Amino acid sequence: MKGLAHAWYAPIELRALRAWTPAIVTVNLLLALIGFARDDMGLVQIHIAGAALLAGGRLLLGGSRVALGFAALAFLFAAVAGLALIEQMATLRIFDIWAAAWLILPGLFGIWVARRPELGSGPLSDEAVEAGLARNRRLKPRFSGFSAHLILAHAVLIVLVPLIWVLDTALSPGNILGGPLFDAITLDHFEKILGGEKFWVWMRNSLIVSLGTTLLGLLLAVPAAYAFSRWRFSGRGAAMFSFLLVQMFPGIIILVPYFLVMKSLGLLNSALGLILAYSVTALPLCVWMLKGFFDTIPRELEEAALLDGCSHTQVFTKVVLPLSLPAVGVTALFSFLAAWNEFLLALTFNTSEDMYTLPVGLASMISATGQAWGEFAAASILVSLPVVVLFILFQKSLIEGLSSGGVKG
Amino acid sequence: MGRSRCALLLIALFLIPLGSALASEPEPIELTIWHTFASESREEATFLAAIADFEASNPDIEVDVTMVPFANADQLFLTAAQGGEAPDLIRLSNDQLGKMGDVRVDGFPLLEDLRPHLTPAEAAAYDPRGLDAMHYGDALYGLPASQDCLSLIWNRALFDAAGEAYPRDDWTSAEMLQAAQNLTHGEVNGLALPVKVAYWWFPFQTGWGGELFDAAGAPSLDSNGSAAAMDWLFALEQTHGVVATGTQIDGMKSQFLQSEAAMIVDGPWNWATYEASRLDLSQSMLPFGPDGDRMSPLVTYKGWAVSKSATHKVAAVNLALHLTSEDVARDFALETSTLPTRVDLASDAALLADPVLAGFLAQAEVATPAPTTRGMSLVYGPLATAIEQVHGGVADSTTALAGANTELASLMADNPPLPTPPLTEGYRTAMVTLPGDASAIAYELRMDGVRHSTHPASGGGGNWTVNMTGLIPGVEHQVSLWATHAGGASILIWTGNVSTNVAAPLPPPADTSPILFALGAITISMFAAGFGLRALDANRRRRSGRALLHIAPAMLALAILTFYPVAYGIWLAFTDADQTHLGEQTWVGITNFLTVFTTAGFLRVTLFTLIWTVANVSAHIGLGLGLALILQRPLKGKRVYRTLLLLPWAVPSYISVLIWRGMLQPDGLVNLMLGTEFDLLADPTGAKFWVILVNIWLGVPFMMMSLSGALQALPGEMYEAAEVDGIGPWGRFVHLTLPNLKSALVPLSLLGFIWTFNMFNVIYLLTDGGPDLRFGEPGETDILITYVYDIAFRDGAYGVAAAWSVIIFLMLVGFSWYHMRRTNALEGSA
Repeated sequence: MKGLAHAWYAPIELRALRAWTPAIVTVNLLLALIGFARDDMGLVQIHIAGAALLAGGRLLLGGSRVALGFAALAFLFAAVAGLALIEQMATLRIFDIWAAAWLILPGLFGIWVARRPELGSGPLSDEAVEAGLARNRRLKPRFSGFSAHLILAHAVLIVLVPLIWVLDTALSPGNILGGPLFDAITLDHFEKILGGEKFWVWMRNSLIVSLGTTLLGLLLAVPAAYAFSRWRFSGRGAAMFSFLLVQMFPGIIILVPYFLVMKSLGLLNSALGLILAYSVTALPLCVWMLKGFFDTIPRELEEAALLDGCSHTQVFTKVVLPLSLPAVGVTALFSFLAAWNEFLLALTFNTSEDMYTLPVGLASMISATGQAWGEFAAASILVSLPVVVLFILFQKSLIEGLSSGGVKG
Repeated sequence: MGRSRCALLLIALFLIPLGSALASEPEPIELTIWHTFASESREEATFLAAIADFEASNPDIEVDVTMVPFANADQLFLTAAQGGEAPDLIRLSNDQLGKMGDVRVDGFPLLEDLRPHLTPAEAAAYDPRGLDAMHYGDALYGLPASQDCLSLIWNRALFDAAGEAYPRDDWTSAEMLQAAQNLTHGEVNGLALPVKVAYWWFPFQTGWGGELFDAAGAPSLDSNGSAAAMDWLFALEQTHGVVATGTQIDGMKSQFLQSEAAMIVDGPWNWATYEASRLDLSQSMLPFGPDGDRMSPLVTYKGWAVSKSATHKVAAVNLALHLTSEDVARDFALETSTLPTRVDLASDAALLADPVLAGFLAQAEVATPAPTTRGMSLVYGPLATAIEQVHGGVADSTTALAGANTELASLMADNPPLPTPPLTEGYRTAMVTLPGDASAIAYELRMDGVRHSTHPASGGGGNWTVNMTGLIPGVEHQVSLWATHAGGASILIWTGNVSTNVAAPLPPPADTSPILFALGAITISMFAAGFGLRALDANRRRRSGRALLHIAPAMLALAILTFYPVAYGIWLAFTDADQTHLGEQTWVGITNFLTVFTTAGFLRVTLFTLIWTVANVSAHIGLGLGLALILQRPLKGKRVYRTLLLLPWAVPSYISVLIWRGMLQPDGLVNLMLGTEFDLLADPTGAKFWVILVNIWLGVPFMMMSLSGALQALPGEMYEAAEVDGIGPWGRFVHLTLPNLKSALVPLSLLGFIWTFNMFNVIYLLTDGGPDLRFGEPGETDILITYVYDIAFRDGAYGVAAAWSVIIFLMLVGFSWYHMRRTNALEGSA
């Protein structure tokens, strides 16, 4: 047991470095590739050399004292290479600083790890292992939290970069796409759009249609999914499959017959028509998601409730539904956004401007000779804002609320 | 479900359309008009003022205005026309007329032939070239309202700063290049133009002595100088560096707006934008080519067309006449720098006083009207391929243009023009026999006191006949004939009444009863199936009735709305449906499928569709699950992260794709960050990479959210137990998380696959399937669905497109079936 703990023990810093080094090396090789694309051979060399140093340093860690010295040296050189990178940069772009950081920070961290006393050769005393394990346990949340933040920050960055560009375009005077970020700020574009009556008409239409779709979508999907999950009956497989079938046929080809169906039902130019069409579009996902979720709710719970004298309806509303709120929430959000963002049907089924939804209205700001980018960007931000509010509300009430509550099976 | 309730539902179903039919009974004449002016623009305001004028002077007419996005206008019109919902008037360009000219629905053209509606005097008020451009074959399908062409706009301040002499109207291309080279230094480029856009190549082609079509209308893309012009144009960017690398239309505008380009080849439509940025602007004519040929840009015309199905054609034509009248055209010119197409405005003092309008009108004068032919609407495809080939170095310009010419010729041979539909004799016209006057040199005919037409006198003075146009059916017109004598005096020699009662032939109204019947049949068969299944299960003691009752609403909505369209689409695949005879297709068996399988590039496009789908779905699920798992932990700022990570889902996808397209341009954000200047979407491999990456960006948030929801259901005790047992994080993930997530992962991966396979927006908006490096084949980033769109809406071959769709459908059915069998998706774990 003692030998095992000895062999198994490594300070948490070393574990973190081991886990991260492959990713760091990959990032540096990618950066070398970018250097190659830039035709900047210095950049390529530095990143490849840095990546090799980091990889080598990691291999040497945990060996003899001599090897440890070499490891520290390798990390030091990697950090220095990063510094050289910054120096080499003519213009200090944020991107370049970020690229250099991927050499400097791992290098410095590596040196810091290499100076840990546990890494030397020779056996550790039992007390040292005990203390080290306790320390690892204590520091673990901090390290894993840092990793999570690092990954999330990068994900957020990738998500935000295009959106920041939209924001910049919306806030820049003129209708230019591109140009330096936030050099001049104006609210003209927002004022112009909010000042027009049409925007509010589109917003109202979009809200009616999207909320209607959410409601109708759930009303149709929840009972169907429950039936698919709970009861076996003839034609069940075929019915479930048929929900998928209609999604498989390319929609743009059948636009004309779809138009004729809506026309013959008198549903052109009406919110109801769009609500029905979108609900049907959202049905497959809603039904299949909910069915999957209902499957995970133990039947015993329902049977117990039935024994307690609940009716079938009560079992559903008091037991099944509360338990499946996350899935209901996700499907509701999906239905809402399917309606909120849809363009082609909203354009085709509305031959009158009064019934346009926001996406169609936005497209109408694109003239024959190209976008008025500033207004377009401002409008797209305004379109997204209600959804962001929805996200925030949704998370608060559903996901976060549930994970702290005690309703889990 | 009780029988009575069933019946009620059915009745309600049939009452919905009835109610709406009763409600629509128009009393005053109501005209619907679709325009394509950008929302909240100056153009739109001028247009609405013109409409208000018309309503004020025609109190019995109400005009219902709807804005349709320009890019979708012709497609929407076609859909609406097939459903009998076409507007009375629509604004179209002559490009679009060229596309729509051969479309027939139930044997009728989409647009009204305006020839009998106009009096010769009314027709003569338009610039003959503009009026000619509104013709398709012999038919006149619209009245020209405005014209556009490229010209040279330049920034005076940059010329002054470089001490360079200003451009002259009689410049040569060599002088322009010299000036551009002198002006190029640092951030400033001498010239801005998108070298890879065919529309910008046309003036250079003419400047080097070439032409698009020869006198007989046959394509001549490989004519004299065409290849040299393309080489010269590309050399501006690739050799001389006076045009910024990979400049596209948006990039060109922003370069010029930020004073990073001294000259720009652009049209009058952007003048107001440039002026608003307080640039010191001037305009000159495009220069002469090396052999003294004047560069002649393509003029396109926009005008007002009347729908064939308009019931109040006289009123509709009057509105079109009003919208193209002198006053309205002058307002448009002065307010929005729109170039008019009326003869009387060519010498209008107010317009000529405006140097910009005068300059652009002079440029239009030497420009070439875009021919309104099927050939012209087909030219862009092969030409784009040739341009990509030359620019990418795949072929030299002579070979590429010869290839484009062959391809265009074969496309035109596949789409021979239809004969012009015959006019209805006597509709708005009447043959009138008039007396002669031996001493007259000319005659003038007046209708209700207004000049109708003039006619040369044949001499001799016998009776002569004329086919009078522009009569209003059912109205007695007072007609007078005046003889003009050599001295200039006009003498009244005849008066009389002329009238016609022939009504306009209307296409049959869209008959919805077969569809209602089909929908009724679907509904009844769904109920029958339901009762049948219940009866079947009754013997097996299953709770079939209750289950079916739960499913019925969803199933019915699905069946009523979508079964008919899908069945129709499948049927279409076996017919010869084609835009030249919509509504009259006949059964042709599997011919269309043979066409599909013999399409060059069928395997290539299918393979890329698979790569696209698998890459996207695995990235969506992998990254989505990864992020969801990270966000599952207790973490500070978790909610903020989650909200931010969901943002790509909040922005309508077509907006974010357009944003990405801007970012991927050579001067876009991606290049700015990387410190490069690549045309990222021009390289076949790069374009494939980026379309997939953008779609991953779009799709991860949804998967993350769905999987976050599913993760909530995982029992926490299980994990605690596993941790106590010493199972590591990876083991817990594989043995606990994944099996428990199966109920969510199965439908998500299945639907993700189907959606991605049929994802149209991203590729269409980002690359439109391009770069197109092979003639007559799918582009490098085309997937099945985007190629189907091209076949249906670019070529109008609906039968073949439907056959492609059926193949897509079958592929997806096969995949889903396999997926469901493998994963036991139908069975629950409960």
